[in-house]
Amino acid sequence: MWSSMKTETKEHNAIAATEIAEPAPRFSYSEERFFLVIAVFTGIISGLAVVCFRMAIEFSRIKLLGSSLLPSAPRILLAPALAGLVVAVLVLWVFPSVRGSGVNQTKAGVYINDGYIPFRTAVGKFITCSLAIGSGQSLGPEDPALQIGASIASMLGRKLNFPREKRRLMAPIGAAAGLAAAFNAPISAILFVIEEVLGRWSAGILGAVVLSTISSVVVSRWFFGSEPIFRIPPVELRRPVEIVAYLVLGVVGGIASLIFSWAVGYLRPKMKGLPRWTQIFQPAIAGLMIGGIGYFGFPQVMGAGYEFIDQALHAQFTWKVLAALALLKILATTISFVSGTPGGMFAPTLFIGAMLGGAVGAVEHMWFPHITGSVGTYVLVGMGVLFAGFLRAPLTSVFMVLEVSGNYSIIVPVIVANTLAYLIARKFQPVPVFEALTSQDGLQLPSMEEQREESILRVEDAMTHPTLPRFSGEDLASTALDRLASADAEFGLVRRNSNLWSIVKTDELREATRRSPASTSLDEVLQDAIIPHLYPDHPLETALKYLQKSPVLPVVHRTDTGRLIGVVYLADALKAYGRAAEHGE
Amino acid sequence: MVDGERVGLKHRGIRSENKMKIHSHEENGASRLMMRHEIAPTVVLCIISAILFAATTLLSRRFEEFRVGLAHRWFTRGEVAMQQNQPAQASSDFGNALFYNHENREYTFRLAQSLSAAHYDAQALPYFSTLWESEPGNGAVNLELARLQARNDGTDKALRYFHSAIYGEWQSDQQENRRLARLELIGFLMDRGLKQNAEAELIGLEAELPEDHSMDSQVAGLFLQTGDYGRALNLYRSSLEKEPLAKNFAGAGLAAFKLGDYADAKTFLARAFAEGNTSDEVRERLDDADEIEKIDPYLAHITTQEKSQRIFQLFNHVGDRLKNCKAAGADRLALAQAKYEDWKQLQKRVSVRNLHESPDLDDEVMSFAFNAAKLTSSVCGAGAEEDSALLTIAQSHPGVAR
Repeated sequence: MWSSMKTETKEHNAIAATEIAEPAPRFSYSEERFFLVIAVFTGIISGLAVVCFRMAIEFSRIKLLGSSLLPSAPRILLAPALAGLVVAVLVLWVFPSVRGSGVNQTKAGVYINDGYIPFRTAVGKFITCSLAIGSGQSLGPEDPALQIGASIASMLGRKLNFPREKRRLMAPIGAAAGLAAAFNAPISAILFVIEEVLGRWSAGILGAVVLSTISSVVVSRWFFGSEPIFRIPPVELRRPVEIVAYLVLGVVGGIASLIFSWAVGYLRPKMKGLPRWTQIFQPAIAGLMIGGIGYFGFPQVMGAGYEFIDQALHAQFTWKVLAALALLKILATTISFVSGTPGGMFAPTLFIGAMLGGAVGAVEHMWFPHITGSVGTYVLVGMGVLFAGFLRAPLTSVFMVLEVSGNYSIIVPVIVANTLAYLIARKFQPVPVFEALTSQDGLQLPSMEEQREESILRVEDAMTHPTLPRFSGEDLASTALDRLASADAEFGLVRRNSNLWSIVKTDELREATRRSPASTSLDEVLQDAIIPHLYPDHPLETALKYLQKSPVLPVVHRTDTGRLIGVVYLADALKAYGRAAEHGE
Repeated sequence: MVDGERVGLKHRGIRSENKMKIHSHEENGASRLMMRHEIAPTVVLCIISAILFAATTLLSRRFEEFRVGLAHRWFTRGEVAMQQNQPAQASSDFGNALFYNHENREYTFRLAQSLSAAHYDAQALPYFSTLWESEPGNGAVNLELARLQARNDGTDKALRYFHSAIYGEWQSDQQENRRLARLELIGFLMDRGLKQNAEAELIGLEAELPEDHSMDSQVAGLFLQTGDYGRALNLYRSSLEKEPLAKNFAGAGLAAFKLGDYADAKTFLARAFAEGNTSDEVRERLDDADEIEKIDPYLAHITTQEKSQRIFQLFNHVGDRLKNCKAAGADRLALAQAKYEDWKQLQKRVSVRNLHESPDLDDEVMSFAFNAAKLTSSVCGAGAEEDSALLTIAQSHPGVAR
């Protein structure tokens, strides 16, 4: 992957060099509007691509494994192995950039290559993941759909000659569209991209992301209907005390997340460290092993597994089978992923969580028969638990469960269980799995978890009490000059009409008093030289923009802009950033 | 942009207004150029999107037809498996069918049915519940849920679902399905010993029986079980018009016997015997009816003289029985002897002539005879056919037997 990233970086640098020679004009209001229009088209085209992608996966599965949900023995063993060989050849020699799930690769495209993701990546991801997932490799389609959408969006941004800052935003917009179409859950897709790709909320991008996501979901539902992927049986929380039962699920889910993360994090570099020629056979061997698991009684672990999540929701399995499926899916997904087979972790995470939730729920029902929550409820909550613990996207995990179930009575158990799993996973594995994988690839991408928790410095963190001389616009220039001299100050603040502010400098006043009569007021000297004023809750970076032009900026009260409560100097602003860095904020 | 800067720009804007007028012509040109840069790509993207949408639609339709075909093939396999009484295999096939056509309610229903038939109740229940949520008035779904609840001792829920099935909507043969659902409910109630509830349902069912009398015999048998012999006999009579079968004759005979109509009972039972129903019950009831015909003093068709004669014979019979009682145990023997002493006292007044002249003496003697028969049957061991017949006659005349 690192060599393919280098190739992409070279292409990106070529584009950037052209841009430096001919800098693009600043986006105007109509261009902002045009950007939103393009976001809609991004959503439509990404949605269509993902629709075709989902059909391709299913078609591959039917042709390779047969139309039965429980394939025959020869197909179970041979299909993933043979398809693994073909996928390996494609990945090694035709589409080298399609390894991995797609989430990290999209992030790398955004942060390293200014949002450049070649369209070839979309084509390669489409073909290899259709084969891999369709043949039974234990991977999911959502992450590849995210990358396909990002690649399409990136291509649109390049073709439309967007400036760099907008090109960089196109990939996340397409990523959200692709993910939403794959999972039929727009809110979760938006939150996931913001949590995992962007790392922070930004009003500038939110509108475009929402438009593209909605467009892609509309397209997806046009073809697949508006029903959720799972048929959710009636779920409800009847007695609040049963939340304790969900706490247990949170603990178990947290532990499972740790096991899963450790397995992937430990084995992946080992496999990557093997000689290059072995990479031809790694996906095939992984396919054979997964086929073996299927052959010996657990074909449910093959592929994305959504139909079996549906069966778990309808209590089709005993608790022992559920527990076994959870553990075997961890094993199978680890094998598939570390072998370098392209595919996502989204669906396997949901599968593992669902099975684990069902097992915990079934066992709790055995010991505490009066528990009113059905096994289906635990399955639903379990999906969110693993999502929060393994993928470390807590907000997405909550909304995903709500979107999938359409039932808000389940929100409290979901929040409780997800939070517990997230805290356990974070306590014992501080580095999330996606970041660990990125580090293994030699890339340094920003930590989304850290970005989410970064507190924004505000003006009040840097402002000081105003000690410099203050005047009003009506004051005489000569008087002001005298006061500045007596205070030994180079400049002072002047409150103008309408409670605006200006800076008056000593040399400026000297010149003015020399040329003008003694009765000249500061208003006449300064005229329309207004400086911006700040409020204490403004982000500190806002102050930085204006401190280049003014040595100091006034900080005023929101209810009375003539009331000065502090001032900000550039040095103090930089000190505030320094303190934040020391404290690790 | 912070407030002060916005105001500052406005000030500068006012001053430079004149300059703006000079540049407006150039800016109009740039604006037209910008519009072309936006409109042209938008139009192109619209065309590309439309083409891609059309292509995807075509692909999707072909794929959907492929999936529906797969679903139908699996569904057919499932139906074959059900006909071969392999519900477990059928559930797997129906599950595959449902996967490829998950909106098909029939597939969902058949899957749930097959799971239920294979006794995978926990797996069947969520599917039935999902169907019920969307169609709570569906008769077939309610009936299946009733069966599930009945198997799992959910009596109250089963009753509720049975009634919903009886009064629910059926896609075809509504009347017939409702009858069958009610019949099944009656069987459920009988199994749980709720005979009164079962009888109430039977009365409801009787009002809805088909005009071809095809169900009369079956319902008559159920009335017999609940003890409503009158209705049972009526229905047996109507069923005999269409189906003069041995079982119907036997049923009618038993019902008539229970009602005390021994002549008809004898006729029906004899006919049943002749038609091939040689069961012990028929044989015994026939013998009883025959014996009762011979000794019953209350038969409508005998004369008062014969009535008195029969009462006298019964009185003497019970006296012999008491006299010859071989009771086990002194207490029992004492009871029999005491009763015999009573008999001897009463004997002084009993003669055919006295019985003929005094109806009150008839009742007194018969009452004694019934009580003596009960006593001797409990303390003196098994008696003759006459004793059994006397006891049966006593049951038909509880007022006298007190």
